[in-house]
Amino acid sequence: MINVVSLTKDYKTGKEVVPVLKGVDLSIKAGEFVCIMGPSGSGKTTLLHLLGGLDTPTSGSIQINGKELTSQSEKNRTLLRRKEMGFVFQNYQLLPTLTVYENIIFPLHADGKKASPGDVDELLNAVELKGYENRFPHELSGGQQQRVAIARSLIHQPSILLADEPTGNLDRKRSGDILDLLAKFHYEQKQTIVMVTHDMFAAGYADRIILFKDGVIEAEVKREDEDYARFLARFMA
Amino acid sequence: MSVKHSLLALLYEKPRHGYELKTGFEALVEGLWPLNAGQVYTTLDRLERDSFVESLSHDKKDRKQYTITQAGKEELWFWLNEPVGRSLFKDEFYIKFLCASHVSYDNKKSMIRDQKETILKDILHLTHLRKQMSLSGNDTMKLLIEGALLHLEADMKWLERIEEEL
Amino acid sequence: MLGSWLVSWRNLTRHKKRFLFTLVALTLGVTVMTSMLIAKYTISNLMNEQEELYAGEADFWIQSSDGFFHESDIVWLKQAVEVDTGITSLIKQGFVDMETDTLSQRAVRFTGVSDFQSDIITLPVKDGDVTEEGLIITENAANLWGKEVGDTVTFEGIETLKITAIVYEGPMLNSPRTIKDALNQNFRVMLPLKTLQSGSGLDNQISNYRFSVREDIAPKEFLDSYQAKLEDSSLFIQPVVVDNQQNNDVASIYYVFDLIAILAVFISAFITFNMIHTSIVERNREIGIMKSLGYTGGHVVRLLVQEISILALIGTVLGVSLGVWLGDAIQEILITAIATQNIEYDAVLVGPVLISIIVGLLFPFVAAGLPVYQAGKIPILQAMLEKDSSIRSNHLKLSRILLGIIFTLIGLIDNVWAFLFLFVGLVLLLPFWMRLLQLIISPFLSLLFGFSGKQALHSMKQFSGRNANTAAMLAIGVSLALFISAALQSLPQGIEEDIHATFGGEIHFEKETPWSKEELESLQQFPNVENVYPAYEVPNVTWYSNGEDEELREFSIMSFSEEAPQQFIVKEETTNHSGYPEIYIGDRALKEAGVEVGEIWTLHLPAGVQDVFIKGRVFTSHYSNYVAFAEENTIQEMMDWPWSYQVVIDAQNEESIPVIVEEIWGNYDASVSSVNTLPITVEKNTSGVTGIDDLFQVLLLLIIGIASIGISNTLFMNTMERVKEIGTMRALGFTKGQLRLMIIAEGLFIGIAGVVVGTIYGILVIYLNSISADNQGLLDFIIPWVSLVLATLGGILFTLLASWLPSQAASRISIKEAIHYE
Ligand SMILES: Nc1ncnc2c1ncn2[C@@H]1O[C@H](COP(=O)(O)OP(=O)(O)OP(=O)(O)O)[C@@H](O)[C@H]1O
Ligand SMILES: [Mg+2]
Repeated sequence: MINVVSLTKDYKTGKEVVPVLKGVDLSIKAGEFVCIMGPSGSGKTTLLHLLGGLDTPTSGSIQINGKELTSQSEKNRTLLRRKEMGFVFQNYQLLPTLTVYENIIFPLHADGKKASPGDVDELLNAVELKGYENRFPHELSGGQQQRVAIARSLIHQPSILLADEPTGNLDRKRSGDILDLLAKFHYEQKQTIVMVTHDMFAAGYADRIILFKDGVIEAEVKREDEDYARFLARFMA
Repeated sequence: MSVKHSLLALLYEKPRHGYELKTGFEALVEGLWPLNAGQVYTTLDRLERDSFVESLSHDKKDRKQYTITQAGKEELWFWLNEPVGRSLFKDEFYIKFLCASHVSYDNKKSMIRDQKETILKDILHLTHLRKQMSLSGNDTMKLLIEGALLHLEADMKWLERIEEEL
Repeated sequence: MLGSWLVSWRNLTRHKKRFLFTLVALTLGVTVMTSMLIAKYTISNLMNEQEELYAGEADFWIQSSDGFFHESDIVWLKQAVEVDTGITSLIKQGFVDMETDTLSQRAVRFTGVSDFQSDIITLPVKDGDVTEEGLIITENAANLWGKEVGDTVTFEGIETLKITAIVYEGPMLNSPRTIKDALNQNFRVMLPLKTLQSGSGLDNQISNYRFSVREDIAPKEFLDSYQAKLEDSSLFIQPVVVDNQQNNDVASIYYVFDLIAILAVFISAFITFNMIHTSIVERNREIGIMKSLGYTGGHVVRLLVQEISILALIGTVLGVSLGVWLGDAIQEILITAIATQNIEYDAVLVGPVLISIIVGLLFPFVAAGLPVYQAGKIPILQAMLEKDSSIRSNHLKLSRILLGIIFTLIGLIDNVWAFLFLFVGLVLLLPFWMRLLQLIISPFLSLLFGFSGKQALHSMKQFSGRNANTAAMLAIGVSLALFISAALQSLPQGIEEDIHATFGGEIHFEKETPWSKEELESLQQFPNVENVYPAYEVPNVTWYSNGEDEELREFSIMSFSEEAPQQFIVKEETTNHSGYPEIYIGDRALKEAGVEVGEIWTLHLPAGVQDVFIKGRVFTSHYSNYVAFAEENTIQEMMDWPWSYQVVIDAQNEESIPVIVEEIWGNYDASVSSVNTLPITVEKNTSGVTGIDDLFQVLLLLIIGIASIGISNTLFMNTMERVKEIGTMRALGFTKGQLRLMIIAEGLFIGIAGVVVGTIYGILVIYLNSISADNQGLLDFIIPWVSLVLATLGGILFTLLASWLPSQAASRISIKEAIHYE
């Protein structure tokens, strides 16, 4: 459950204050697969970072599973993120000195937990990286790295998965595989997924598409909606 | 053309009667291509005429049961083996575009936009389908969808291109 | 836990060369520190051991102000219930019977003892049996005389004696090492009391009685009551005190040891700081990722702390092991330089090694403290989204400059340690100096290296902070090198001047028996003798130090008079008077006693417990300034010390000194206790300093060496952070040669900055010390030109060497890989 009310975020560049989010209201049900689309610079990544507690908003409220995020200390936000959230970053963000295996179990390790070999194995199979456990990130292809990042975001079975352009730099085949993977986990574990993407081919995977423009939600469409596709097409043009 | 061969493929599996063939076909294409019964029977008649199938027996409910013949099998192999060419004018929008230019149609812009919308709609629809195929493990179908999506992507690019030219 | 130590190890060794260089710097820092500590502790321990050996098991001793006294005078004491065991000895001069150039070379000081079994005297046995009655000589004597245990030696007047034991050199018995040394030092041997008494015609006469008291006796009360009992006789009792401060002033050597140790650790710490700082900046993004995945600031700090632990542990283990070896070598050199004889000693290892381990393990953490703390606080997003960690702000921080100025001002305070603050100021101000130098050096670099030079200047700006820190290390090394060589150059000169100023006359002559008026007059008639003055010295005056638990200290009080040549310089004096005996006291003793000029102070004199008035504070070259002076009359009348055993002789001229000395030996032979001349004293005191000169030069070179490792490390880091940039440059047509030149030019600039700033600060420190009142004006303002040239050339040469490896590494960067470098 994610509940966002009147969320704003300003950035200061020098003396200038740049408003990036200008009052976002958003509610995402548990288990929903939501996609956020919008032009470049509209504030999608900023919103995702705020949802993940990686940054603090200028004003407004964010509730994650009933807990107000903005009033938490940095430490508590870390704890919440560690327990409830998985993050997939646009450019993998793997830790170069850790092996594939160590990268994947990192969130568990940060939480002071032991990884059960069974779970890791299953995940490795799912992302088709069995046999690559002891490689270092620089010994992997881009797609493999992306899959490690996804495995890493899921190892601790988070209830919320935040994915920022998880298919950003991938070709059609690879991005399809990644999306299938996400869909599979979503289907099996019913976590809430918030995915930022530019890619129509990814958007079709979501139950709901939120359209972002200039720091506000311009519109949103549900899969069930009659004019779903037409509306989107209009919007994208 | 391909309905005919799809029915041959279904009969190759086992002998079936007309209605079975209709449902079988629909299952094959995951319900994406509805067939009416008439279409099935006219096709079967033609197949019987060409001796690709024969209807020797009837089932308990006294429905005609079709079986594939040796010639039918050969026809199926032949068809499967034959590569498929692509005609420039197979896509109706091409013809439309050609005709629109010919008659100096003014609304070319909206025509293209609407086409793009349609393609986008197809894309969203197909990606959703792809997700479902992937979840249900129907890999052949997933591949088909992928192919279609690639075509759509190309169409989209082309539309953007001619939009620029205008 | 994820084999997190393994991960730390991987992080640490990600850049192999950097890791290696940092480790070497760390190791060398610990090595130098350990060796310095070992040398210091060993010497200090040695001094104490020697003194304690001299004291043996004795608690008290009885002497007479008349010199010799009759055995029967103390029979009552020997039988006193409090006395446990005791030993009587007679000390008498004499000569060994052998061929030498001069009489003084044969001079022997006999100690006749009543009991060879007693543990009141302990001797370090080398060969034979010291409990067997017979002749005991030292190793040196045995060598010079060519004798072994069982051989016989003949002494003039005394029968031929069989050697029963040979002992190592020590405070009780020692002998000159060479026949030349024997000119000024006598052979000290031990023999049975009776033999000595009959041989020298001093039947029943003794010089002292040393004894221990029963364990249940309170020493203070015992001393008081016996002092009272002996009040009216010429005998006096004193506690046996272990206090070697009168014989040596090693504090200044300790000071240099400490300085070098601190310096080495400081520079190592700096290199560690640079490395950790860089490694954290480089990993900003990774740290951001870790935090985004649930790592807290504490986790990050722990990860880094693990890395530093590994570094510290390896560095300490290697450093301490090397340090033990180096320390052994250094103290060998030192002891040969300081000690006049071969002394048996044990290296003190436990303390120094423990301290080194603790410091070695801790200081990397201190050095890395700030960057690690900052790493814990790295904001997640900023770090993760950072594209290029090498783009940093380049403006001088005002706060840094202000702080630098404040530290510099503190550094100008007149205190031996204050100038360390000057160096902290130097570090803080260095970016500012670099800017200034850049203006001056830039044209030369561009001229010398062309386009590469220009490029180098650009990249210098990119890493200005790190480069400034590196130059600062070199600067500190260079300036201290200059300071210490200036000190070593001017110290002997200062010592010589001091001795000339306060020796008093040219010859000091001590006799076994008091001088009579007639004897003085006849001495006055010696050829070349200008004047003769009797001198008084109250030995073994004891008092309590001002330390935590008051401990007994011991010095002597020397006499002065209107006529006799002055043996001290008054530094401070009060106009007040009091009825108590007035004394002038040397600085070191004053500090140890914790008293002030103008105060009343209690001493244990031969006359018993006596309050004295501290009239003034003085400086003297006698007894390393651990001594006091009182007027001749005061000593005679109020301190119960009526006899003069010494004379101060004014020679007519410098050349006549040896002639007079020869004459003295000829006339007084067996009753000569000691003859000391001004030139010999000067030589003795300055030779030690010049002996350790070379050692310190080598150590300082080592420190500049460590600093240049820092330069190498910095250049490596600068290079590795620019891999992509360098790749692009190469792709755009920069040749390998140009690239090498560029890196070398960068190194050269750091080197020049370090040497120039170091020289300026070095001269400043020398100047500050020369005008320092705290230093007793021991140092003159001299610029050590040779060292200056050496440090400059050495610094630049080291820098070029240090730049070579990184320049090679840079030129090996593959263009293709560099451009794809993440
Ligand atoms: N640290 C920052 N300081 C100043 N402005 C920032 C900062 N981070 C982001 N912005 C601005 O905020 C706006 C929104 O950025 P954001 O990254 O959220 O966009 P986005 O929607 O994710 O765009 P894209 O699709 O290109 O990734 C942009 O205009 C950007 O310039
Ligand atoms: Mg973005």
